[in-house]
Amino acid sequence: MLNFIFKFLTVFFSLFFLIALHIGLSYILPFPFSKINIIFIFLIIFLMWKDSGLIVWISFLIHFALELYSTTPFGVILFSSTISTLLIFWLYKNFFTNRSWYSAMTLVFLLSLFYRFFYIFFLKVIDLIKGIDLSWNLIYITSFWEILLTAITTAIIYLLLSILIKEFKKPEIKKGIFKI
Amino acid sequence: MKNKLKTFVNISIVVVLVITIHFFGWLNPIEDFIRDIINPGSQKLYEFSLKINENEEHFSSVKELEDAYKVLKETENKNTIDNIELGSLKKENKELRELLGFLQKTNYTYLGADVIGKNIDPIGNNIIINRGEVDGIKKDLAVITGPGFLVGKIKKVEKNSSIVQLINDNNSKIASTIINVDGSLGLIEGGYGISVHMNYIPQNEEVNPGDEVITSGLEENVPHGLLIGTIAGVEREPYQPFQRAIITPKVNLEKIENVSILLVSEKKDN
Repeated sequence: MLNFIFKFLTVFFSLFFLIALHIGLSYILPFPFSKINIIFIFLIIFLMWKDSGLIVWISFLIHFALELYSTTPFGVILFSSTISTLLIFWLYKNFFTNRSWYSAMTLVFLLSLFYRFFYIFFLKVIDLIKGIDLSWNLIYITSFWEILLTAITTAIIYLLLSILIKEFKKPEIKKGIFKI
Repeated sequence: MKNKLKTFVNISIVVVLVITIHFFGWLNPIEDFIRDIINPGSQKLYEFSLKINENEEHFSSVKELEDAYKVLKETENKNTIDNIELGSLKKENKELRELLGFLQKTNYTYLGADVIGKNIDPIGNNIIINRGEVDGIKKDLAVITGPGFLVGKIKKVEKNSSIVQLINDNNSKIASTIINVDGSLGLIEGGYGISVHMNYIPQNEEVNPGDEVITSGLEENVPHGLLIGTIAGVEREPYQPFQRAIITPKVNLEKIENVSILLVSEKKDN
């Protein structure tokens, strides 16, 4: 029981710390670096480290909290992020099976890409249904920087981690259909 | 493949269920709990970011940067941390005095609030304040700072916090008037970066750079006379029925620390 409480508190404070880090960096860093998505970087690093589908639920919980601070219609961020994380989990399990910096970079790139694709898609649908006045250009530019810089940052972080942590040095974890 | 589809459907159901429950308001206790945890942290981070960005400068040449560095070194030797803290407190004090002065002079019913964060989403320019439904905040109330400068309107109200739509937000529209001979009316609209545009100004009215723009009072919750900005330029096409003015807001909308929400738009009787 004590072990469970300890684990629960660890997860709870880790998620809180992650959200604070994500929000904090977006306030502090100048544009376009403020658009680096720390949460996606964490999710991919966690996935490659623990090899666990838990990331889908972690993504769900974190984005639920972030959704509370958003002016986007409720659900757009939550749905886009959770489904994108699920797709990435499957891609990791079946296609991109290497533990390497370029694998991590590709996975983050695709996660950000899927997320923004769903995000824009749902906003467009809502726009069609009830009409919302949005600066689409701003969304496209922001998405571009987010995807690019998040992917580059992931590669750098992964390279650093592979120097420090043994787990990240293992070149292959299992057989997949494709390897990159 | 069948399993994957099943997982996909199951997760989608959970997400849709959560979204539905949210709209019924049944998740409010959980959402308020999450906000209560995140808000203090967000406020500290926001204040920290303001302190950092306050020292940000842009240089056009290396020489200029070197000179600035020399000056900075000299200043650093002279000053202590106490002085920096004192300066920060003085600034805050000045802002609050200005705000208080304006509010006492005009006698509006108002509520002070601290900015605890800003939106991290790409779809708008908003800030988060530490006042909500329990404080009597309602949607569309005017939000001001300094000596009566309008910064935006309340867009979303939660139990203990609210989201303010800044005047440079893409969806922001404020009925306004220019302090000129004609008292030209128009609509202040955001979505143009740090500046805002005043549209629908009749073509035959004289509008000049340097003219001040204030709220017109035509909106229910936004009283007349709140300063918005100064006209930086005018765009006039002969074939158009209206002209457009580019407005520089009075406030740096990226660095707002304290605001006041005008709870009643009408002035109180003295």
